[in-house]
Amino acid sequence: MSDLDERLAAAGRLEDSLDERQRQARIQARLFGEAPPVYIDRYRVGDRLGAGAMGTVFAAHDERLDRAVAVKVLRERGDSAAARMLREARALARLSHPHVVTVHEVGQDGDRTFIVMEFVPGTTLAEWQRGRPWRAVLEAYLAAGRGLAAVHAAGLVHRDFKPSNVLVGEDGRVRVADFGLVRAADAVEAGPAPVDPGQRLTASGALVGTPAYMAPEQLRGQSADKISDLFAFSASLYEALAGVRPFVAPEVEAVLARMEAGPPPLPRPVPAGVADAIARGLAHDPARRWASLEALLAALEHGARRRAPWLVPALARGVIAGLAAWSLRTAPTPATPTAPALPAALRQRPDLAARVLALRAPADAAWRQAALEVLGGPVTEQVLRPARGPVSDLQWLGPDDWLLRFMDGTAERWTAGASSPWPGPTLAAACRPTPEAPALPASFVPGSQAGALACAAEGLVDLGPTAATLYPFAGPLRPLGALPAGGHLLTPDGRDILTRVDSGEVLRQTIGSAEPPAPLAGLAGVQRMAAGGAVVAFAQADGHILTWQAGGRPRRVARMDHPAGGLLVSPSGQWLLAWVDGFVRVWDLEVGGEPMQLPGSWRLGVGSFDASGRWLVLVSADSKATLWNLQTEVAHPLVGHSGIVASARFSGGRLVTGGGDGEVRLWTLEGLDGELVGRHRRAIWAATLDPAGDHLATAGMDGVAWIWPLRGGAPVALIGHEKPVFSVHYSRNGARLATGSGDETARVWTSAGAPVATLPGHEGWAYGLDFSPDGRWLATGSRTGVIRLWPAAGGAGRILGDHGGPDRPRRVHTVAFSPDGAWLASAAKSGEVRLWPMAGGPPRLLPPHAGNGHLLYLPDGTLLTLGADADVRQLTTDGGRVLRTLHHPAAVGGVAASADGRWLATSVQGGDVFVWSLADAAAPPRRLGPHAGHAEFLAFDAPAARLLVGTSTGDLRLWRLDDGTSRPLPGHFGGVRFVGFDPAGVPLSAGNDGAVRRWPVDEDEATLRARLARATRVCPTADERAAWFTPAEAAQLGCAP
Amino acid sequence: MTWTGLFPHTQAMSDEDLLRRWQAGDRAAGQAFFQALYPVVVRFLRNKVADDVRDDLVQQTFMAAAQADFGGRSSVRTWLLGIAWRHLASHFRSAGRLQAREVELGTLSVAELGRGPESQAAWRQEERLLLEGLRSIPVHAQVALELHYWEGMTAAEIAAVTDTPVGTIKTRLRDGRLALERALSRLAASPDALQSTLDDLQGWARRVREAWATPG
Repeated sequence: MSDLDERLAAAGRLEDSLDERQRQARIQARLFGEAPPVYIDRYRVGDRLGAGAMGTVFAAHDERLDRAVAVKVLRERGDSAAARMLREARALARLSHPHVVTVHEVGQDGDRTFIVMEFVPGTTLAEWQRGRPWRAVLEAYLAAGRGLAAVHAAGLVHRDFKPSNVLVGEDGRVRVADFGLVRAADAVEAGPAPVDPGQRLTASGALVGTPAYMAPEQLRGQSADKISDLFAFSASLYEALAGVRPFVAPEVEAVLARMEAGPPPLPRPVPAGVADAIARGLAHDPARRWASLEALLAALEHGARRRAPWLVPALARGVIAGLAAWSLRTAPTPATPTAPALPAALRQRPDLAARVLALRAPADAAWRQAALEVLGGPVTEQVLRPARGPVSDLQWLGPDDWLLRFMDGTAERWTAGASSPWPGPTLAAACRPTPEAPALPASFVPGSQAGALACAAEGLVDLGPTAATLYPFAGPLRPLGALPAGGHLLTPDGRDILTRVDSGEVLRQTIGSAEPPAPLAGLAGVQRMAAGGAVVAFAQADGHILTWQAGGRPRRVARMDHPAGGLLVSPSGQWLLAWVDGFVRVWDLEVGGEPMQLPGSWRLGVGSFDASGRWLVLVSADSKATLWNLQTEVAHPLVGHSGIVASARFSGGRLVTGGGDGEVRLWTLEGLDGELVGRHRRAIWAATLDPAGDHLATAGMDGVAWIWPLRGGAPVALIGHEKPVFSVHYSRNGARLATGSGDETARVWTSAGAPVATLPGHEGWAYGLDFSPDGRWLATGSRTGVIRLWPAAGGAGRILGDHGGPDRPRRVHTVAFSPDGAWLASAAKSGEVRLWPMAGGPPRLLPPHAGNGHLLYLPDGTLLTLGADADVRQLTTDGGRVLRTLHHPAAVGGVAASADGRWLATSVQGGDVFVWSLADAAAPPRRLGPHAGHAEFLAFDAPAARLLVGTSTGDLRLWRLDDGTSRPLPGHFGGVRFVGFDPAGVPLSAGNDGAVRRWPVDEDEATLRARLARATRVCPTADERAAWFTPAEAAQLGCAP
Repeated sequence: MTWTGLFPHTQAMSDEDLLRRWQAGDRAAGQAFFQALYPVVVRFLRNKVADDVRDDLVQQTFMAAAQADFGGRSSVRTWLLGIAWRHLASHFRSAGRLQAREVELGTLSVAELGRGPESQAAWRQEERLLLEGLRSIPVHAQVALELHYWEGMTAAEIAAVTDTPVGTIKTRLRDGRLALERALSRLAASPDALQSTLDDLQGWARRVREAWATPG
């Protein structure tokens, strides 16, 4: 036989592995219904539990000790590999930790290594975490993380941490498992990155480890260490909280690119602190991740505790006590500490379960939901269950009286009643539609008792004939006689009935008039009508949209490419909304001009404006209700309905929504969000208050600067720059302001907006402006680091010098005069800080920072310098001496001093803000945060009682410095570029979304407490009442039966 | 591996006796038959299909054997492998891996047919090399070589398994062996070539993509 023949014959040898024996036994069992038992050592092997790249896990029975175990049989990897694995498995066997699967024994069977572990009945974390509240998920991961940390402490690296490698026992205990890949940490860390394919790839080519959770260095085939484990842990936790993996892309290269860009933000309600901690765990550069798993776990715990700090613990306790009644009939707390018990039926309905948990369990979930609703969006004030089917329309007639239309099986019914008693009687037969007379348009006259209800059937219109017993209308009820067939509309003034007939004409008949109906001129092919205020709107088949007011002629508003499918006019008559071709457009009829187009897809015909014209509620194509603030253009989802939202309407001064399940919710909108002061067409890059604090000047990327008077009056546009305006500064007396632009000029303006001077010749741009204290000079910095001094009244400037060195980024970030006017300080991107003596002479070089130099003169004349390092230095006015260095845990990004000079706020990369006492150098700083994104912009209010923080992601947060609580001010899209307070102490902000906003927040704790109590007071359904409460308990719930 | 001693009354019986008793309803005989011939069928299938498919094909082969007519024209082993071969060919076709044309089984290799055996981690480098080599030659040649070397079959027996003229099998054995030598020398001459075959970077990228596309 040739060599090849021998080798070929030898290759016919079959593997004798447990896995192979198991497979044969399994096929035999399938063929014959039974199979001989398979043993490995003394363990009788049962079902295969799973297989990974490194081996296969079987359920097994220890015949000697008579206990269930799990046996993992490792794949053969050569003698040295087997020996190493054996050594490492034995290290694991010595490790005993409640959150690590116990290894009983490591043994050899033939040339196979097997590991005997405790058998954990239960599920994997991957299964368990689905649909759980974030807090329960986080708890489980904290436990798993402690187990993984114990593995690290034993000198081992897991290398394949992922949710499916963590077991959650039926006892609720979380255990890290699957150590097939575990290796001694030193073996991995020693030497250069190993490219042994046996480590990266198994012989069959499978990756060692799981790519979806792998750290970038692992994906690139480099060594995996504890910090790679930390990444995998963070990726797993991210997925558990977000529902999606942090870095998803079809190609490895694209995944790596996304890793470099960083993970997308975690959705609410995950606290920012938790999200930030995870984000750092996912840093592309291992050196930027947490130094250890313990550090990450501590940050996660800290972040979770800091949820909703505005609501002080006393308030939380009050609410939880108030909620205690809701838990009376829930099942006893099960063994699983992180999984509240749910009725069996609810386990099938995670959506409903989430709501019940959120609203009824006296645990963190309820607290979170309540806080979310109170602080972040509209709050449910009351829940009613008046109907059996989807509520398709509803009206509020008075403070307590209501009327609604719902589907009862296939029949449509109206019902009317009052909040109490409940439910009310079904409306009388005359207003119930029949198959022969299906249409029932009901119109109401706002603010009028006369003719409050019109019912139409078979062309007849009666004004409240039968509802009169329920609603005593003033005035006689008059039958109108026959109307033309078609769609009817009661005009807003209650005087006319408009009928749209099949020909597309609109016929008008005055109520009480003997005249026959007459066509309204100027209309043709009308398909839709709507009324509001004094305005009636029409949509024609040719795409025209027109409005009409009594006494006038129809007027064109717009012509669309497609005819509008529906129209809506606000009760004020100000807003006209049209559903056109799948989009919603809103016109401001008072102002005119182009319509707003609301992003998203909205259900045709379902929507409502409130009486003030400030709010619009719409229902999306997927049946979720959203509330729009038409002034600020902020959208708030209405969180509360368990299923679809079938109808939504402002009525009787309230927002009311009807669910597909017959549930009706009333919402309170008080204190919902800020006011829009004004808007740039593009992002706002910088803003500043004038010295008196009653004007705000903003610099826009649209090339315009605006002055916004905060005490009333019209804003003034500063027009002249040809490129984006980057900076804006007031003179000390407020009489002048200067702007700097990418058009290489700086400009000086009067405080009324009149141009004074144009100062040309800056290289790249004029940035970092400041007026001298006496107002005579303006200092500027350019992109190439040149510092210039200009007469503020105009004229030729002179060059003071520049931030030298061709090889360093010299662009000037800040220039500032000392309060005594003797020095001009400038800071450059290189981190270099210079002091230029105004009396002449060479500049003084101050201790540099690592980059991104920034500086600030404090009210007492001392100078603060900072940069991309962790130190903030306080120096004497002339920069000659460092008075104090404030050390931070990370690079400093923002700084602000209180007006009285007693406090200094600084922010560091990662979102934390520190408040330092400038009076007491020994006092440690207070830490506020974390925030979502970098908290670059900070401002104290005048008494230094509150601190406003704006971040690069649009997070705006108002901190109270007395108790360290905060509340979010939601509304900015994109980064915040300015924060401040107006003279009345009202927070102000401006940002990348181009908006200048004002935030009147005057709620005291009692108001918040009341709102929170309302938010959490939800009436159970009849079924829930029956299932969960005794009659006596139900009577105590404070809900109508 | 063997399972002697489990079914004493069947020990002395031939494969054919066991098969006939199984087909007559003796389950114990059936189990003994299965245990005796399982390695043969597995050895035949293991280097051609993925693990889960292999188990299914093994089961299908034995289920078919329980009902099929054994004419006695060849040995039971040859007859059983013929059943396995037909199930394997049917799998390749039904899986859409190629059109039902014999010529393609003759020209395409298992590697090209997209097979992915997963249990090879245990195989020593030398065996891996051979198996890779076998997988990289046309399926018909691979089958002929494997049956010849692993089951000790003659050309006539192989012809019976695959229902092919003996002359064709002889050609396949000769050509297949040359093709295998070429493949092995190509793989062995350059460690990089072997490594690249094993690493299969594109396949790696694809597997990574798949790992992302599915949960867990």
